[in-house]
Amino acid sequence: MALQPFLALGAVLFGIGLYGALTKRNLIIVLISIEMMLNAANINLVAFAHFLPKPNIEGQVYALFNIAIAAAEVAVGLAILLSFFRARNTSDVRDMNAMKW
Amino acid sequence: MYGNNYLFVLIFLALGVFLPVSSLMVIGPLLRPNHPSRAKTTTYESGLEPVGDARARYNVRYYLFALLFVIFDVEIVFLYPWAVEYKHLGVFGFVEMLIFILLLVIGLVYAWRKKVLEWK
Amino acid sequence: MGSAVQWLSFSDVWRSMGPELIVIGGAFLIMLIELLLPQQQRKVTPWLAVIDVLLAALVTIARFGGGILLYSNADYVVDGFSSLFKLLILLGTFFVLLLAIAEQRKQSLPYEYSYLMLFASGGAMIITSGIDLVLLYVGLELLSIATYILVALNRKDARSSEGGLKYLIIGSIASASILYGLSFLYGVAGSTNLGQIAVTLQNAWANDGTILFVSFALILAGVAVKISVVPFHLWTPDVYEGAPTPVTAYLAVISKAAVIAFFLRVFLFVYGAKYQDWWLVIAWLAVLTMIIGNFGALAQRNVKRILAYSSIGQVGYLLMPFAAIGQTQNVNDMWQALSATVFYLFAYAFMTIGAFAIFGKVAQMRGSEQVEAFAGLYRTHPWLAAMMAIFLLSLAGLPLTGGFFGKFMIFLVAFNAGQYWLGVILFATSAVAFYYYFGILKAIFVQEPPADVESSRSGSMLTVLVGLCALGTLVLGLLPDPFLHILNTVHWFG
Repeated sequence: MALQPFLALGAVLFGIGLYGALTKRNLIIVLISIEMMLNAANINLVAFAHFLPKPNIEGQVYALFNIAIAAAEVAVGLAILLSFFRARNTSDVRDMNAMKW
Repeated sequence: MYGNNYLFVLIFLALGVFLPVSSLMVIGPLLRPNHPSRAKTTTYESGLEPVGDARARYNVRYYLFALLFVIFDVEIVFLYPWAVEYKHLGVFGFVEMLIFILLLVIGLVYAWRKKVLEWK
Repeated sequence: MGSAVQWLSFSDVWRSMGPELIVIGGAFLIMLIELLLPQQQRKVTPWLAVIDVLLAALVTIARFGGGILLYSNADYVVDGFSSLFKLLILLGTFFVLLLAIAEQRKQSLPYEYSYLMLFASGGAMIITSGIDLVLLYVGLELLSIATYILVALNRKDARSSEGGLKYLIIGSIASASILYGLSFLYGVAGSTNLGQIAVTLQNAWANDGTILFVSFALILAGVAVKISVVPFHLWTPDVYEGAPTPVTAYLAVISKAAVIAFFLRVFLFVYGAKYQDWWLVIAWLAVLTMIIGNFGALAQRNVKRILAYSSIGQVGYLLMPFAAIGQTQNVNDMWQALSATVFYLFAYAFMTIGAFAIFGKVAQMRGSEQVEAFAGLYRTHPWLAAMMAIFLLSLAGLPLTGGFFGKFMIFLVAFNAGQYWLGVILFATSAVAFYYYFGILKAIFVQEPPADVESSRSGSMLTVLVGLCALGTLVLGLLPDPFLHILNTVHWFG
């Protein structure tokens, strides 16, 4: 295997995640899309760690930290989503309209 | 020399059969109270109704337990590499990991005191 | 983490991360104390946080100017840049905590804010000192995640959770973009250490120029979202309006300062070799930010949103020094630009927190966030009115205030570098800013107060806080020399 397929997978995941995060209406799907973007970066890091001219473990360590951070991020995201849901009884992006410029 | 290894396998096999059978079939029924009811005989599905539409809504309280799981999930992510390199990392690594676990315990205590663990 | 790993000792950890340890360890302690205290006694917890911040500031000051120290395989550095930014962050946190205590009297914000702000500030301080991609990202996320919670903290107000959700989604997308960009840096350089990346990249531009450009764009976009640079600014007014007022001040000052530190450190270290190629991008972003931020404020009637748009405009001023020195190769220009940015950040911290403090009080008293709520403030609360005038004039850049001197320094950087057009836009947009600040001032001094207004006292806590902020603003404007001396003699980078 070469490096390129992994980078392509990462790029595709990042693209799908970004598209989903910007266009989906359900906030849960938006959170999942953001997770996909973070995991795209993790795939990149792990692939680079393996295929570098001088392979080292830093990329894998970095990916571990990112997994922990992503878990914290999505936990907070769900908590805020819950409090939004309790206040407004909806989880639709289009209903985030109490404040407009 | 190597014959001993198979002896251990045999012992573990015997224990592996004996312990669950004895506890489930013999000791358990002797110790536990026996009050059968209709709800108890249904399939266990983490508190959900086991029969019905697969796209049922989950109770939102499960979310809190899922979050608590994340604490231990993340703990293992960091504990495992540390355990592999335990000797290499020495006392500094050990103390660091103790601090890390302490911080996670604080998180658990926090959840406990805020009554997250209670099913209201 | 190759073969030449130096092992850290505990004393190294204390010497390198002392202030961070105090802030984050204190946050955990305060969290436990808040948990174990009965409900009535919990009002001590913000005061404990204030003491914690002061302790950390003392340790930072005690180590100030101790030369440049590298720790942990050069992953952590204590230099002038990090010390100055840490002081700024601690000062801002101190003021915001006082503001939160003052607000707390009437509006019941849960006491969780005291340690959440400490966690966020701890993350911000790690950003200023870390020169490793892992550390930088962990610090950035510690800051971001804590601030997501802070914005959504007021559970009685639906706007708070909506603002929190917007901030979380936009901020997470930005974080993911930054992380994806950083992963390419690691891929090209084969290391997560900024110093090693900088060395490797000097030769890598020929082969890997495209991928480095992609990483540059991704990181820049993410950072631009976090400090609300136009065209990535649309979340800012909504989030600022939804968040509780102390949290808004926190976002506007500390969060922004920390991400600007991240921006300066990463971009000057990593992409510094190709500076001539990208300074124009920063210049245009700064120009757009100044123009749209200041013109956007004109359309608003809600004071919190006016302040939000004005803070967008201020980010344009903060970016300008770096845009201006693009074509010069003189390293002294870079130090001058750093001085200007840090000076303006300090002035910005004083005047912004002060303005938000008075806004929060007025919104509470009159029950409205519109400009009209300020009507006749001079009659009912002369002290608050006078202080608000100082902050607004400083934000607009009137002489004798810190805001003016900061803008003057930024202008000098642009002037010395020959970028006169940037200086012209700076003054033109400041003139626009005068217009909407003047609307608030007119309401304060000219209009009559509403007849049914009750004469509530402003609260001693708020009076002191506002006075301190005004003092800081005026000292930076009238007697900037001692501070300038520090800025001129400091060793910026390790």
